[in-house]
Amino acid sequence: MKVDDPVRSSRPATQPHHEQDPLPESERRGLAERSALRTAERERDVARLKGEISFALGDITDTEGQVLALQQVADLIAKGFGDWCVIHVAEPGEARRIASHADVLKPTWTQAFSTRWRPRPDSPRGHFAVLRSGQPQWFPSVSDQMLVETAVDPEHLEALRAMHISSYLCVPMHARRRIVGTLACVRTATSPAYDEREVAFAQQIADRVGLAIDNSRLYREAQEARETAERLYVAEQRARAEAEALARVAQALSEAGLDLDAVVQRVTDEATALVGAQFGAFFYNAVGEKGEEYMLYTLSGAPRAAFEKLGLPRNTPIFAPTFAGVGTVRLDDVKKDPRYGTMSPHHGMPKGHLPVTSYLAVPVVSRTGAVTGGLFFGHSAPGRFTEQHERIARVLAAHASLAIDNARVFQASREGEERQARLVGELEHAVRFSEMFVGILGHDLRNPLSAITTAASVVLSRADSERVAKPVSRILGSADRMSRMIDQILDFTRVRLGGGIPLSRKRFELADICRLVLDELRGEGDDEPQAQLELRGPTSGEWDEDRLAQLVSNLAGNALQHRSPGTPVLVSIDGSMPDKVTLSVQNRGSVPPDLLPVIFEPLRGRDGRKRQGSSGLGLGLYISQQIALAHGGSIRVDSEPGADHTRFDVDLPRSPPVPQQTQQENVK
Amino acid sequence: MSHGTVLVVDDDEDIRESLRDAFEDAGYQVRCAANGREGLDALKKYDRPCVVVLDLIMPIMTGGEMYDAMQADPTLAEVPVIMSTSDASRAPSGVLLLKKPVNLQRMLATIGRFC
Repeated sequence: MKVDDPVRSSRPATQPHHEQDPLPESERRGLAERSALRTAERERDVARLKGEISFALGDITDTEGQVLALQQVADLIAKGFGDWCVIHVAEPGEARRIASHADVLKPTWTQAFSTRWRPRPDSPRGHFAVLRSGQPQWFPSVSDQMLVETAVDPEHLEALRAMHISSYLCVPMHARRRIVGTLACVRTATSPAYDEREVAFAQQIADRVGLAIDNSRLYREAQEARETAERLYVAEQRARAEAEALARVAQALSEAGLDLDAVVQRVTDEATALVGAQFGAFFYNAVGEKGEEYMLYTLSGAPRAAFEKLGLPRNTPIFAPTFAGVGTVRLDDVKKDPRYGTMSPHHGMPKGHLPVTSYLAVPVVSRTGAVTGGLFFGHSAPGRFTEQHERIARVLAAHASLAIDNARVFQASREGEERQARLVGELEHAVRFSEMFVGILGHDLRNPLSAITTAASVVLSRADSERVAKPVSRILGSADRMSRMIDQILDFTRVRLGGGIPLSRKRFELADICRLVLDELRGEGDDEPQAQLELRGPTSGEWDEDRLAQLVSNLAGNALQHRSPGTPVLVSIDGSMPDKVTLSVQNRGSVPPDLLPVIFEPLRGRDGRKRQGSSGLGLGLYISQQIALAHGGSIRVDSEPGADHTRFDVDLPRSPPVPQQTQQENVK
Repeated sequence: MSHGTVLVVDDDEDIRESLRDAFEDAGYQVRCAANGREGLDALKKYDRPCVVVLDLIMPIMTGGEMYDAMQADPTLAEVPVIMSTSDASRAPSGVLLLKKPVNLQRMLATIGRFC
């Protein structure tokens, strides 16, 4: 068998040369008529084949359809255009090969052509060569040498030889200026060789197949794009639905307010619905008033009775990751998990437990990192919880944690308020009790004291001897001291209760009060120098007369009591300033250094020690300071132990402070 | 010698009787009542005293209520009142006050202004 040239350079060897044998006119006419008939038949066959191929390529929508269609095309070509047809579709990676033959191969070789005997990429003929060149290859005759060059192994060569190939053509399949594959046809020894018209026809068929393949590719790509878009749309819809559901939950949680029980129940209900569980539970830790921890739970989708007999969940291997806040546990079938049923006494779910197969549990962790509790979901069917449910549950757990934290803060705040209200109530009760005590002290104690004083005064007036008068005078002196103590305790209590020192202001001369008080302080038969009064400038102002008398009496009485023996006491009033008066009381004597910083504090020296010369409660200077403050003034002490000199200065504004509102009205 | 009558109204018998002793020693006639109601009755029943020494806090009728009743009665409104009390903040405004325990000398000096 000789090797022929490709289609461009060769003529078919089997083409007849009629011009060398001239025939009679009648035979020539007969031959022409028969030839015309054959041509017409062949054109009819070609047209029918084209129609059938077009019909076969008509509806390629997917890869499977493409394979079927190409197989049908190959069958049609093998039947009507050759004895064997191979269609190679160029695809990324290895080409798809569709082959058909008209009973020219043993069945075992048919399989081998599809699987083992793939064309060599470097072969000078066939699929890869046409792909490289883009030109058709046409061999009107096929030599054995060509078969040898084409075969990939001896068996392949044996199969090729057995086919008795006489003619071969391979044309590229074009589509949109691309080569999408090749179409190869073979005729065996019993069939006529391919001619140029058939090569052209094969090219038409190949291009039609190529276009169909490319349309199929475009359709497939469009289909894939649509499917991708649909998937994205579905994913977006799902994400939107998920977000909306979570937003509803967040809204629901905010509507549940700050009531912890309501929040926890709402979380359980919403979460159970969102993850599609048959039942859900929220076990969470609570702290009692005494700081003890205990566990509470809420249920959804199941009656409380379903859990009441079971007790609280123990720290089993299944539950432990949730209560430890380690992570989410999602099981398609809890009973198949290796951790399931490893603990006594139940070795699994206790009798009467809800039928849990699908299991999902997420820890609820506070902002502080402490594990608040866990959300648990169950379903009797397996594999009900997906990754999406797990994600939803985690997000819900975060929402729940925040809501519970807020509710707990609110609850703590409310408890704090209640505790505060209780304390305020107790305090008010204590205040009322103190006021009652002040009333008792003021009235009930002073009444008998008044009787003592009056009776003693009567006895003293009737006394006709020193022997009687002296002890009665002591009774009167002690009663007087007691009266002053009661006054001081009453004032102290009033100030401490927040009422301050009540004032009844009127205009008077401070000098007059000082004279009166100093007269009263002048002891009968006392050899010590009396207190002296010095005045400078006007001494009038709007003050409480009794209270200032009390203040002067306290300061001057102290100065007289604590002066160095035989030294004078000087009371001076400086009225040189227009808006205030300064009252000063000074003596020769010094305040102990340790007493100086606390000299105006109440009840000083009540620590078990009594200071020398002190006969009171340690309230006199405190009340004096309160009187000065009540008048809008101040009091200060200056004492130098080494200099043996002590001086108290009291600044008293002449007029009461103008209320702020009145000041604003004056500005207007 | 007799300077006039003093009406002492006080629920504390010791005070009442001590004042009676003191005032009688000073030459006054003394009439006593244990509460405001008795005091008012005494004012209406007997001659008008030159002064009433009135305790503030008493059962049945307080000193404040008796003072108000006197002010409401034209025949009694002019009777001078010295109120002796342990709580000056409860006393009616304008009334003459002497704080308990009473300084007897001051009390006698004050009574002397009216009798």
